[in-house]
Amino acid sequence: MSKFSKGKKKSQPAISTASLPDIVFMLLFFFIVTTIFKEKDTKVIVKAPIATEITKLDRRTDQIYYWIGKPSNKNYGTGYRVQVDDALAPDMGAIRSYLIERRGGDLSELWDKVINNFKIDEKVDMRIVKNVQEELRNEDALKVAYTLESK
Amino acid sequence: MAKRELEEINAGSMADIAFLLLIFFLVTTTMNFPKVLEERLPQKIEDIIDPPLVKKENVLEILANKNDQILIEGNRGEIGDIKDKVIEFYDHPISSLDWPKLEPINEALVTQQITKYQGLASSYPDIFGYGDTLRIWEFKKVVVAAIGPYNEISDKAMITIQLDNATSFKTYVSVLNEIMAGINELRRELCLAKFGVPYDKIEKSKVTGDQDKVKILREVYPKRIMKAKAKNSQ
Repeated sequence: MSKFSKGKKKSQPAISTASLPDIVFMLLFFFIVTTIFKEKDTKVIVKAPIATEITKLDRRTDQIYYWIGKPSNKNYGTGYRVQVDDALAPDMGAIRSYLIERRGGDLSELWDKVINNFKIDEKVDMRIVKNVQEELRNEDALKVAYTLESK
Repeated sequence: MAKRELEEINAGSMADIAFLLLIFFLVTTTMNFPKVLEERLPQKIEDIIDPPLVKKENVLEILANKNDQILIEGNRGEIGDIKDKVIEFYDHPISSLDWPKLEPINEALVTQQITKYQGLASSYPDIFGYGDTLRIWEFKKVVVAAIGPYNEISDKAMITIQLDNATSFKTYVSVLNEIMAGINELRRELCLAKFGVPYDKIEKSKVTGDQDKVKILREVYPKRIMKAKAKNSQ
């Protein structure tokens, strides 16, 4: 008997938590790498329609965003408005000049690869969409994607 | 008196700090990719003279009016009917006269055409576009090698969507979605039958070879959708 218990009780050694930070850091780096902060704040309210045949779009491709919907702030009116990237476009000419600026500027090399990502409210009529896309065609921005909801 | 040893710096709180950062990134990360339907706008062409005459059977005409009603080839229909029409548009008996012409492509034809255009391209380099035609046939050879003989839809065949100015975006998306559903179903079937993999898995895959397969499927069932203005929209 004494062979197994030598009088005083030995306490179990605590499980080492020294590797815990390593594990956590590993996870941390994973999330740091995968996080993308680019989420523009929208000034219009959009409820996109539902579709089934949707494909995933790589976020890392260069995109120009368009939102079409009613402004969330009533000061901007109650009709449908177009927001291009960060600002509400006062008219179609403003969209064109924005495209010209981007085309001549940072996107000049990749213009034919740029995806024009539309997020459009389901109630918007096609006339507005067509007018915006007419400006795109004027500037040879032909790749269009519609962001939609999946079922 | 015992010498007091320097205590090690306690690293226990390191985990806490890392956890805090981890949770921050967990919360801010959005892993969902934007889900989209893609489309290509037609190039701007200055002063269109006259649209080329197209044969009726080469066009699948879908019209959506301002009340979001659908007309398929001139007949009232529902959104759900579009898919079957699209499938029929691409995949029908060769003898059918109501649908675009299908041309059977097989190895003998491909070899014959390649020999022909190789000759022409070497006799007349850089003119008449024989080089381009040759490349098209060479790609068809790749397709035949991969999936065997197939029927090629006429290159004039296209699906047109005619819209009214007041048609809602929702209706346009559902029409587009149904057309894509038809095309994708055909591609999925062919993909599973010939390559044994689901189309959805390879469509956006970056693994070598997958995009080649996608190209082949797209060659057999090309997506040719045109947005047209309604002729007399009231």
